[in-house]
Amino acid sequence: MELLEEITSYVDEELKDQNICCRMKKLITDDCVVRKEYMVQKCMKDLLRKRFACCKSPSGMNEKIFLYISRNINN
Amino acid sequence: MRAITNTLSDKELQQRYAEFEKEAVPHLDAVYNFALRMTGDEDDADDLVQETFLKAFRFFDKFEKGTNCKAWLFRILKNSFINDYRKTTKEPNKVDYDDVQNFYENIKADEVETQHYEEDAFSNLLDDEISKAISELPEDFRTVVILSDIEGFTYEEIADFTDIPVGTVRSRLHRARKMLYVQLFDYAKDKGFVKKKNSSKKSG
Repeated sequence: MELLEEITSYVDEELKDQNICCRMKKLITDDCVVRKEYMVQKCMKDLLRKRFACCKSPSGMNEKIFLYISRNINN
Repeated sequence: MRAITNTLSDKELQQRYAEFEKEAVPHLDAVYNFALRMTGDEDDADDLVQETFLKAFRFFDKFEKGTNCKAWLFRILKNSFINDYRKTTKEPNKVDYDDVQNFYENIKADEVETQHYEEDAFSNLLDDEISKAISELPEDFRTVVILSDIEGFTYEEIADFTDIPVGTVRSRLHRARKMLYVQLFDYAKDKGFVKKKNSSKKSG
């Protein structure tokens, strides 16, 4: 795994190996290039999660779907 | 698609409705959200969601109870998007990975003023502007970023229903966020939410 992609895995909490996690933490503190990559990845992830995670479907969609199913089920 | 009413009695059909309502319908918002981000259009998202739920209902006997129903629905939606929706609307975006790679490689630190890493620089951007930036990502990249950052799926789940290796999920995600950052940074700069560090360096 490339270091840059390892940073992505770290942001997504997908790194299972605690040794690699510790190494990554240290790199983020000590290395400005790694820190920059980490911040860009984290910033985008947090922004999308906060802005779009709770989008509601239009009201009445549930009924519309069941109507659509009952209309089309024989076709 | 076959007519399931020929094979199910009224009672069985009612039972299927009840189970479907319990298992699948709670994921309606998430499915709609995914459809909206994939199509970038409310009416298209509406159609895609209805198609997805109709297919899911027809094949509900194939769904293994106790497994991840949301992931199952997303897989149906993704396939419907590729096979039906995209075919009838426009030719799929052909992703030239070399172009994406070049674009990515060309994002140099001095082009993106990353002292604005914090969300502050983007907090004044409208949802529509962020949506537009997402919709402008190449489809393969858009898919992974939506599934990961908006829907919260793990790499393994994303890999499973997009049929790509976990390593590819990771790599696309990394690049997608980077592209998004550059795009949003440009919007933010145009709107005056961030100031150029050395505006004088342009001249000359």
